[in-house]
Amino acid sequence: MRWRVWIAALLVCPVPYGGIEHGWVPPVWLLAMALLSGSVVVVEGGKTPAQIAAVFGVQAVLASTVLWLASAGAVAAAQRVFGPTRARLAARSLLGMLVALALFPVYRSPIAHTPGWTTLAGLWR
Amino acid sequence: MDNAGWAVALRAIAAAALAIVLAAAGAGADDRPERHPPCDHASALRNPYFGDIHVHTRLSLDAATQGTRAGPREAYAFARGEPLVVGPADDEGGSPRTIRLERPLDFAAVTDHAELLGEARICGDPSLPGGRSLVCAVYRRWPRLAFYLMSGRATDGRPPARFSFCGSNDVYCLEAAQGPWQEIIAAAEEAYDRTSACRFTTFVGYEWTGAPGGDNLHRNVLFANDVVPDLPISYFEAPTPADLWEQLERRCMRRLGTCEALAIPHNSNLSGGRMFTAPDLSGQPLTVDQAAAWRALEPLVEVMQHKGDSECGPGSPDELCRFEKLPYANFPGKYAWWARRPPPPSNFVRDALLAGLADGRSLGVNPFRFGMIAGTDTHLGAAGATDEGGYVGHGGAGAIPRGERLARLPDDIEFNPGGLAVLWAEQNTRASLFAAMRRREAYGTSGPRITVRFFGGWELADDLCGDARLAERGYAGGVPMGGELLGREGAAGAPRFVVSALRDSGTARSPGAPLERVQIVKGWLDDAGTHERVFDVAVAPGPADVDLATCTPRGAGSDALCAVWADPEFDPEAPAFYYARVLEVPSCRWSTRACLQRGIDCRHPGDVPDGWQECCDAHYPKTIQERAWTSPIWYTPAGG
Repeated sequence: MRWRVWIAALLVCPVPYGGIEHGWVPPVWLLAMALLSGSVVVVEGGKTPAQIAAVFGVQAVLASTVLWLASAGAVAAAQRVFGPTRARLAARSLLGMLVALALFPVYRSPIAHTPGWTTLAGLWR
Repeated sequence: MDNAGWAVALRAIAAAALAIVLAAAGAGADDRPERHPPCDHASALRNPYFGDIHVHTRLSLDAATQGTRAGPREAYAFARGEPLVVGPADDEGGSPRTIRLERPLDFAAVTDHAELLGEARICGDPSLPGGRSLVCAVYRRWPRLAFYLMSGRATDGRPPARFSFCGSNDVYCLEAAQGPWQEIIAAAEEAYDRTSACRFTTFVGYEWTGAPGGDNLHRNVLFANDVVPDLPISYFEAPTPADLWEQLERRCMRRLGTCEALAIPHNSNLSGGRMFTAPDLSGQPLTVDQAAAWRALEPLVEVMQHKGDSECGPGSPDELCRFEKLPYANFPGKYAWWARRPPPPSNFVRDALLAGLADGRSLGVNPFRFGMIAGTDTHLGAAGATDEGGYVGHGGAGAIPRGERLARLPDDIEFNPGGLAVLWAEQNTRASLFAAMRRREAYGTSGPRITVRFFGGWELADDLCGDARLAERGYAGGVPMGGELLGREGAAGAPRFVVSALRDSGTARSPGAPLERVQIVKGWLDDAGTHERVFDVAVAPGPADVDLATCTPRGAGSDALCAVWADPEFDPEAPAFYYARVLEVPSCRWSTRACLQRGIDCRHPGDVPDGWQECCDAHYPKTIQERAWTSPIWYTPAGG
């Protein structure tokens, strides 16, 4: 279950980022920016794209690590508090909450087409 | 004289000869037929013309990727007083913001970045060769990310190279750049008023955008007329300022005969101390040839614009140097905390003027005989939009409107609306204005339309200030700003200067502020090195400030200030420069006005909305003391 919670968090949980602009985005978005910038480095070379890829990449890894620890901790705590059966229900509820988060305007990046606070769809639009 | 002395003397003579040849080429601008009738309001004693010669439009990649839609034609229309719709767009793709200059400009130049001119065109049209490349896909899908990825081409420390999608020998990008370049030329031609009314003058121009390692070496290149190179000479073809000058000489001045250009460095405050060093970026001391070329091709420097003031360093004992300073030394310092360091003194124009005196002695040529101007560097096409009230921002830094309210401060707080260039010229034509730039009879303001006359001479009389013939007597008995006073063999007495300043009357919606004082800034060179000193020469009676709760001015100030001043510490053996600085009384900075308009109350930090926290950041000033800087008058000792 913790894997599922973690993956959902990677996809939807907004985390702060900085370096190149700043905002709140899911780690997967940071990873996407790192991969895009990294691809430009592979195709075109250049110090600046490499630095940009590194800035996004490092933050994606950091955020993913923190969310892994948080996901694992939350699932373990649920098992301890609720027992194995109800813990699964609690974890599913957490999963549902994370998915529902995507519908709220809790994301922001000047790099996105919608640079104000927006939903997950708005962030990727 | 020993051998070394003869060598220096010979080099100096050779450099002086080169400078004379180049200056003579420049002097031709006024004589060349320009297909322009005499202007109705021409004056032999010259008029002040206000303009903006640093303007970007959607043709610049950084403007386009930040949502700017205005092109060169819209920028010129705005400068002439027509409305301009400005971005960034709201969620629906529209923009409710329309701005208009209450007072049209007299002249303007669109100076889009030469670099990536073709690349932006290709990436905006997938049907063009290279348009489906990865970089162009990022450009269309994530323009803001593309801005960083693509702009890096002009900041990477390695030799600059175009993107691979430009094809072999960069042919696709060079071909694609033709369209925007022709659009720039055509827009300038269409907007130039060739009637005898002479309402508006344009210059064909562009920005050379070299910034190796993030150290800003940018220059605006302006052409005297519509005879220009096939394409602008960019950082890719000319990776150093020396290369730029050489190619301007080869591809413009020499090759085309009537083509004439000058370059204006800007934002030395972001140059990491490199703007006024060897133009071939070798790190070596300046050579005589380089000094002569510098002096011939770069008669002006942009002392103030959107990205801060470059007059003098924040560490200077001159307390008025702490004006609109950026807290970092180059571009990386803006974006990365680990690269941030305070700007060194060598980032600033006054330091260069002083260094020029020393170079003048050692090389025989002063490379840094800079006149001063200012500009906006707008990336919205909003030429001359310098009003602190209602500042809409610079481009992508601008906030997204939500109905009537801005979502955040309209610009990064350390920036500002920029300044204006003022030229003293006989009439408002290209030939006349270009000649004014060449002879440095120019000054810059931080935005207001302050009018300043500045003359230096040996016999200027004490009664000049009260005389309606001040200009006539100033020209007859001395030299104007940008000129040179030569020492008189065996004559005693110090040079005398007259400086006369009139406040900006402003408009009904945005009244100008009165003047607080006039200063003369002196720099000189003696055996102990270079020195600087600031003299108050005319001061308005009584203190004046501004009520920060309402932005209402308090106290008096003067409508006009004038003084005749003689240097009390004059040393006839010491080369020197003198420039005037005219200060308004303090007024509210753009950020203070925006914060007030938004109703921010810093007494309750918890209630300050997201995006407005900088309103309460004590690191940034609440007021601004608007000002004008004249071009210097140089004193050269007799025989020196």
